[in-house]
Amino acid sequence: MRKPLIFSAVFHAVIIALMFISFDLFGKPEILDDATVVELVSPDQIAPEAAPKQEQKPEEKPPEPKPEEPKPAEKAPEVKTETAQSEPQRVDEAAEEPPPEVAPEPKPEEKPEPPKPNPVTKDLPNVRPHDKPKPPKKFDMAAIEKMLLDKRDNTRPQEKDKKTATSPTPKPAPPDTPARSPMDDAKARASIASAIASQIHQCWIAPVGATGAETLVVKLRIYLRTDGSLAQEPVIVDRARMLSDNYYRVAAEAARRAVQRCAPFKLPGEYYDIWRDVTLNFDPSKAL
Amino acid sequence: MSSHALRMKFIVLAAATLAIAACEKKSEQPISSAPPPPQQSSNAAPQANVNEQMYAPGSQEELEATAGSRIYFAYDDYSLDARAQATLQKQAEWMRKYPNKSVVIEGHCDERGTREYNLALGARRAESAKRYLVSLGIDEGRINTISYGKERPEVVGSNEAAWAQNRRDVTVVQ
Amino acid sequence: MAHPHTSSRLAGLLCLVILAVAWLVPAHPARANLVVDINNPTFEPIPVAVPSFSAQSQVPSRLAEMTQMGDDIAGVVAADLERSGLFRPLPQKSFVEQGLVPERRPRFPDWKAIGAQGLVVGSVNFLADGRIEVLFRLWDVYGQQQMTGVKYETTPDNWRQIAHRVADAIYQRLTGEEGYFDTRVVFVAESGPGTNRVKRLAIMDQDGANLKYLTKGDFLALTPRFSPNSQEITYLSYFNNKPRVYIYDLETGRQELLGDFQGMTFAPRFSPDGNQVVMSMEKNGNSDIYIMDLRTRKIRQLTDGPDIDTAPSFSPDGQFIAFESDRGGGQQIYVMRADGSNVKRISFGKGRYKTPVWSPRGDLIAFTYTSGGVFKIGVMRPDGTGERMLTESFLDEGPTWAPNGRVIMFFRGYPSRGGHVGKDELWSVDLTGRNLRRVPTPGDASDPAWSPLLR
Repeated sequence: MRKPLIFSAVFHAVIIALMFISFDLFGKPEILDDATVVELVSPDQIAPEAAPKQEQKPEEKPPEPKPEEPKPAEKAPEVKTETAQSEPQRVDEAAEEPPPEVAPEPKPEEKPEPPKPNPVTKDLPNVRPHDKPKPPKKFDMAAIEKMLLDKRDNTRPQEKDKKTATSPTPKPAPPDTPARSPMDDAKARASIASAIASQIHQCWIAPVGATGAETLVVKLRIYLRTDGSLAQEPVIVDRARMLSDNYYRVAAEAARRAVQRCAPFKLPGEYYDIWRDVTLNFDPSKAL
Repeated sequence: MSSHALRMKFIVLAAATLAIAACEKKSEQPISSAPPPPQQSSNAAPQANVNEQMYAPGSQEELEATAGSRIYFAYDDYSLDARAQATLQKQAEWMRKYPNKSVVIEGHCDERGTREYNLALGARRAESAKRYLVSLGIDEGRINTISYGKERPEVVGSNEAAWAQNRRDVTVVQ
Repeated sequence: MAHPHTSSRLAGLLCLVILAVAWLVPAHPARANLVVDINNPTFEPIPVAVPSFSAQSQVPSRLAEMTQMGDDIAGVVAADLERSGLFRPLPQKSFVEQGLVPERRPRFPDWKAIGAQGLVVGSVNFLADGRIEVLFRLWDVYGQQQMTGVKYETTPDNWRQIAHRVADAIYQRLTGEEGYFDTRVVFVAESGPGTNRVKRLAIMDQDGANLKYLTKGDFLALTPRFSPNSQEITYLSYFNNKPRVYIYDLETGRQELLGDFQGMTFAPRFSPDGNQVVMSMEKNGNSDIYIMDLRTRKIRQLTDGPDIDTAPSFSPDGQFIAFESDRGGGQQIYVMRADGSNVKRISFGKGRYKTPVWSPRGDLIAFTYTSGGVFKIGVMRPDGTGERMLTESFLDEGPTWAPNGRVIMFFRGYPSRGGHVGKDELWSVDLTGRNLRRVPTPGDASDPAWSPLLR
């Protein structure tokens, strides 16, 4: 019921976007949502406001009513967007525009479930040690099942403490999760999370000192291949704000670049089920 | 003996006063501390009687020689201490002697304040000298004031001695 | 699920894409999604590559000139970005791909390899009519897509301004803030002996280029401030030994005394609409704040008291005025309504707070602070909270904001030694307190005022 509606909306949006593209001389639709550029395009706006006054170099003598040269008529550096071939780009665009509220599944050519250790993860010392020392847990499946609920309740608050309020509560693990004790699982998740955070941290150049930086928390969803590379372009969850809020867009793009710059991530292959699909909350509020 | 004790007392007192003054200077806002009276320009005073005749009557030089043209202020202060008052009294005498002369009192500050505030403070300093002269019977119309803030220091230097000399009023014969 | 809009081929194709996506969605009952919080960004300038703009000429004899201009434009753009502290232009020598033109997509891996996140590809073309066309594209190297692109047409002598605008566009696209490179700075150029300094009004581009002196130096000139349209400067001149506020018209060079009052007028600033000047006036040694309507020339007193009230500065919405007063003892910052009512003290720290200057963004007030013999430039919110000191030295004074409210310029004085007067220099600092650097001036300089954006 809702889906067709969404599709229709998206479809129309795309059509409209395409119409713009065909008029847009500069080729990429990105330009169109760049307010400044669009603003600059209109030559009638530019012409009057531009340089004539600056041309007039002020003269020293107060009595002199006018500087030596009369105003040259021109000066207005007109600004317009301009042609470029628009070409294979489409691919990128498509990747850029998933339906806002549903995150598309990565086309996993890889089979995620039975996670094989992969070469990239060899050097992940700080993740493994944490989850290693608990073989005993595995044997008592029944007991663990009984405790399952409580355990979850225990782990969640922990996670939450480290999180900002914006992060949603993790959903319960689907049945296809490899056998692992909830304790193991929680610990693994925690250390993987910190591994990811510390890797991205080095790549993330936040919009420091931006206006309202404390509200610029960007939620990004990423889908990873078994080798830690990006299965697709990171998805900026709040697509709407991305289009309407300049500061947010910059913050979101900075977050996306951070991920793209850091990928592939070095993560333990045996826990691929945990890090296959990750939500990242970039919070620059403490950046000042 | 008693005179010796008295002298000792005086020396101790003087030392204490100096110490206090020094302390106050270091503690950053010695608002009411007495300004260290710079000796420089008042050197002219002792010679005044001798040289009086050498200066053109009613000239700036004569004012400097007979009365002194400068008075000094404490940090961020515009009140007149005894020394400043004494100088101004002599200036008033001089002005009575030359009733058709008028003067400009320039207010100056040291470099340790912001530009705008120092302009205002210089105006206060010039005005307090003017008020004092008026209270001594000098016609207000003969006294103009101008503030130079920190723009025209007497001495180039970034130390207490230089700053003390720069916190001043200068009376200029027009 | 049938879509009626299948008229265009493209649309049809898109339909397929959407359907494909739709197909995937229900098949994906999300597995417990790992949520990772990252709140610890690196403070690192964004690496950008700004190769020389490629040159073309419709008039063959001008090609060499265009080639030079292509280098120069890239140089100005890179220098602007670098100076902001938010970007790190990569050295030209490191560039692998050569001969870039805006009409062609760059080889992104080449740029990724040297760590560039943004790549600026531009061209300059001498047109048959004697004008030049400058165009550029900013590419997202990781996303492999264009982030912005603009074309400008102008006369060749305007190339420098265009370069600043290119830098502004890049800055804006990558930071979200408006740029500030196409701006000028008016300041006081100092020369001569310490006891008799010559102080002249001077104006230059924000990067120090195009310096011009506006006054000869016969009279002291202090505290210049731009009008909102950048065409006038109000300042204090000691013309004929009467310190008064003047307005200097940059276009005509004409100067105008702003009301002939008995006492000194000083510390002037325009209102945000440009119709008023707020300033201090001294009467009988006492300084209060007044406002003058420039159309009617009527003056109105805003503060009244035996204290020094000075350095007034409007909020960008014109509703409030911040100023300094020593009514509570030492100087502190106060805010009042623009009509003089509702005076509230906002600074309460130990030292003295002076020369408040409201940010064009409205969110902060910059000030000069002194305590313990040092001067600092700091900022606080208009309600007095969030106080932060950004600089400290023997003498840091007189903050002025870049039009985007992101960068503060001020002047720094050095102690005089051995009878030699200490230097005065212009400096700038980012709102974060980072990126403190000197603003180049040919000689000593003080009292800077940043212009609004020139477009």
